[in-house]
Amino acid sequence: MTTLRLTDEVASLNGIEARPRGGVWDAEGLQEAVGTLLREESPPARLTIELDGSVAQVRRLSEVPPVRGSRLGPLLSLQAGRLFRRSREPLTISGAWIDRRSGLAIACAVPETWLESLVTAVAARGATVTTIRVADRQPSPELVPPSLRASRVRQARRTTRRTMIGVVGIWLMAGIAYVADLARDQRAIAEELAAMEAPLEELSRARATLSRVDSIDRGLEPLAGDRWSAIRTWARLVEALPAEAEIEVLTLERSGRHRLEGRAPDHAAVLAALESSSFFTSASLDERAGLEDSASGTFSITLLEVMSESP
Amino acid sequence: MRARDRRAIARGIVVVLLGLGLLRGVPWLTTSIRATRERVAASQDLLRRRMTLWSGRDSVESVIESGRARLDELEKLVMPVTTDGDGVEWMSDRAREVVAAGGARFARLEHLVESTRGPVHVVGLALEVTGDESTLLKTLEALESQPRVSLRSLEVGPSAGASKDPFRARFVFEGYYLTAREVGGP
Repeated sequence: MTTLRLTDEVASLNGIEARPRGGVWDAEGLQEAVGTLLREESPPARLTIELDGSVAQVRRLSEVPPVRGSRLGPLLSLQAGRLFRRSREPLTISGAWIDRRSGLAIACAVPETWLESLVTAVAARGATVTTIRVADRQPSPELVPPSLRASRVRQARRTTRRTMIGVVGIWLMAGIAYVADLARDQRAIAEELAAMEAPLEELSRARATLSRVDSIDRGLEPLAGDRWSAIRTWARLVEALPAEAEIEVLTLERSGRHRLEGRAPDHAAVLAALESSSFFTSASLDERAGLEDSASGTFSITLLEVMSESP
Repeated sequence: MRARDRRAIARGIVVVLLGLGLLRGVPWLTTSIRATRERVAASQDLLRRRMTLWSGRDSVESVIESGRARLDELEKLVMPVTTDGDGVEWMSDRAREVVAAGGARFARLEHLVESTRGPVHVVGLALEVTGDESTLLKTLEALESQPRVSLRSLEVGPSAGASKDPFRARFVFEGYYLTAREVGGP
């Protein structure tokens, strides 16, 4: 960083010096000196200016209220008349904390128009002033002329605005991309669903057909498969019954529940004969019918047929 | 009113409008995006299920083919009628055929209450005949040989009254039909 040093007698830059005409740095003299110094070397883009204590008024202060660093300058400005020599021109005042806790601070002041002339002279040579401070002081308050301060504020606002616009823009673009992606997905899905509508309709009809076939199949169960045959059951009964049994009334049902009425000398023998058949189970005398008569030999038997072969 | 005051008022209005926009717009936007996302997720789920269904279409088609073949078989078992009246008439014809084939003597034909088994309509008739053991067995055989008729019950006993025949038999049998709508199907 190139540094321009300025005392009340000489201005120096990289070992090159310029002196004021008439021994005092007025605005014209400053511009001429800066012009001379910056012409000698290739003009730097950025320049730091250090002011000697003979140019700037520097005060060491105590018992300063512990305000923030950025508020120290404005606070000291309120007491400019007490802290610095009276001047007809307004002063640019700045301050820096030496020790904030103990209230020790350093303050400095430079005539505002003089400082502006210096900055204008540097700017006229195409350079930019980065910092103006008091030389050989630690800490060294930074002196910022109103134009530079306004410029910095404007720059800061611009930066803030651009950052905000950038951030909002990024979020906005991300949101738009997200919504667009959703919409694209939704459209693609809708198209695929629409394309599948006809085949799925066909499948749905087919499923309804299958369901109908199934219910019709169940409805026609008595006709399907190995149908129950009354002749077959009759034949099995005739085969199972003992020879002395005589059937008078025979009732056969598709459900497999049959009824025999007849006469036989030994009811137990009839029941045993029926139950020993592999085609019948659970043969029992129907006592409610009131047909059991040992003397005449009449009986009424209810029996169940094994229906595993029948639907 | 100075320019500075006007600027302050304008800025205030802008801030209020921005605040309103944020308070109203952001929840609306959030809700809309959430609803859209849920809609997309639901659509994706539906699509996934349909794709699964669609991927199994070959097996479904073979099942449908077998279902149609089965339907053709079943149609051979139902009466070629679509109403109860026609069903009774068709069944009565079969009863007469059976009686004629068996050689039994016709006594009575009774129409039973119609019922249904799912989509299948059932027409029931009770046929009473008289005859000897041989004719009754032939009649029963003729009845059981009918492919579209199912015997529900059989009752055989001695003939009553002044009948010349020794036995009386009551055959309760059923025929099935599908209505025109069921025949057409979905």
